[in-house]
Amino acid sequence: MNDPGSRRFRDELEDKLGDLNVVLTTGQVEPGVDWAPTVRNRIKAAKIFVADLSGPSKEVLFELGFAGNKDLFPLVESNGHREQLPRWVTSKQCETFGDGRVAQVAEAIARRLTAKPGSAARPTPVPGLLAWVTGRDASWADEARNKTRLMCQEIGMEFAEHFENDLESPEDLQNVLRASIMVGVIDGGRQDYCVHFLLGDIVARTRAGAGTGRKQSVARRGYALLPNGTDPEGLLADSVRRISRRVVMQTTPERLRTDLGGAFDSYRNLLKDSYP
Amino acid sequence: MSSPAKSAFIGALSFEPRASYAFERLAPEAGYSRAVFLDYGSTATPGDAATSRREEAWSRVSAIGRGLGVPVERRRVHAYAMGDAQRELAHQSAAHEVVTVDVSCMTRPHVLGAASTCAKAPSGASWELTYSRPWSYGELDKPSASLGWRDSLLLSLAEDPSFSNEGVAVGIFLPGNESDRATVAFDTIEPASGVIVGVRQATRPDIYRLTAARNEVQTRHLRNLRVPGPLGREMVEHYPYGGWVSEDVDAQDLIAGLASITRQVVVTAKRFEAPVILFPFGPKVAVFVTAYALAATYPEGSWAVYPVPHTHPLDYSEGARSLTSAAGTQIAELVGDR
Repeated sequence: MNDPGSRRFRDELEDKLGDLNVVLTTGQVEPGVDWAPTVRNRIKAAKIFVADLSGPSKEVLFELGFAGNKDLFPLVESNGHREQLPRWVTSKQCETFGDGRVAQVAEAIARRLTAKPGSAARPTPVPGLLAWVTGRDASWADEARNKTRLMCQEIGMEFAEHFENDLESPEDLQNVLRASIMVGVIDGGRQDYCVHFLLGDIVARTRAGAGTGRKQSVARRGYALLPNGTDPEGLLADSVRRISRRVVMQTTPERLRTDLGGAFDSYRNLLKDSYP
Repeated sequence: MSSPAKSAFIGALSFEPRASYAFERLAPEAGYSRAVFLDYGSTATPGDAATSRREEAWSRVSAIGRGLGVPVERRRVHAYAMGDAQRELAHQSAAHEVVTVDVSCMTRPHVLGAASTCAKAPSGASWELTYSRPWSYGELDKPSASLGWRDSLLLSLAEDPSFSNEGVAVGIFLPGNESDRATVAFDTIEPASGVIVGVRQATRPDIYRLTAARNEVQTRHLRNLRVPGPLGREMVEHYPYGGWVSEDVDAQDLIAGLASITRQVVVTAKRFEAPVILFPFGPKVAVFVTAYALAATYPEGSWAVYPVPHTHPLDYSEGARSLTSAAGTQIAELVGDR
């Protein structure tokens, strides 16, 4: 977070946790260092992921998704900030850190470190499931959705449409998190936060399928679907735009069919190899 | 799905999330006059976490029952006593016109018991099979860590079947993901001929491959076996089961596919008056259909082997993806029982 209040809190929290012998790593990176993978590696290495969700910021929602099965410690600056969050986020208790509550938050984090992990594991991704995540007002993407649904039918893949407005809790997200392919409609609507979270999950958990053997799984793919001719700047978090196109792809209704080709080919090959 | 005035639902309570799925989906439309859940948890998976999840499942089904005015009962049964499930199903069948049998969370001995009871039901009795398919089965991408086996049961699929001519017994092996269970079962009894049946699910080719890979050592060994002596030569001459062969069935065509395979096996076994041994480790719906087909068409010589686990992992299955149902009359017709 670049918000001054959030930065100040982070610095104070680092000091307080230091007093409790807890190391806090942050998103701050030295000049010349490739920041996106560095931050992701820090999240991977952490025991607890402390997320300041005040705002909210698409960047933090993406990191929240990337945190995968980490024990999460969500925070907001005030109750007002909590009300601005999507419902599926606020069903988890969010601590507030405003009004000089840094010491209490630090102690709570230290206690959590010695407790059993509280977060439920995310569901196992499965091949052959495409999730289409959209908002109620995103009719510009309807034609692309219908074409994608047809493509799924042709190959025998399950197509599941999810409206962000219907996602009330993390449990509602379970079936979206199982998808091997996720197409998220990005147009400045509320669903953008959810799509960022799901893209983060795909970057963290890159395979769908059971088994460790050769050809027993497919690569998961995320697609950020933007209106034709839209500049992604401002709509997509910087982290998302820096991820390899092999994992997360920015696309438009015009290009979606072509861009989905690789992911569909992977599933087709899995079917062909398994059931010759 | 039919919904006569007097129908009952019989399922099993479990720590699995899918324990209540079929009842949740079917009860509002089916007009059940009673629902019974077999509760075997304390003998299968003791422990606070499993108990707590079973109680959650019980709360869910109780609430649905209250909402719809359907009495929901909980029957304590032994997890591995086939007879407990048979008696309960026979009791409900006698009292109701139609019984829906949800095998999703039943133990395999209960599934076998339910199948054999349905197979010997009078022709007027009506039942339907239902099964909730989970999204996945635990952490399949990790090396399997077995929790151990405490016994191995040899179960008869009908009343007093014969075990004579065991030397030319024919097996039906439905491989599952716990390959060590199959190893224990084949250590109990190892027919020299039979059929290994793979179930191909359209959207989960990865599970098919994983199951095949995990059972590779066992299936390779089986495929090298041959029935010895003159009977073996005669078997090869007349029937395809001079040893073990592999066949696949599509999940979409499961009942017809299994009925066809079972028919071939039964013809062979009848010719040699030999027992048929079912190794019931694949999908429970496949176990039910195969056991039903054997009990209905070859009650004089059908058996199953079941190694009893010490306990079950709490992540045995994930969620519920879909519900499959089939009328008993449809299964009976495909099996050739009626």
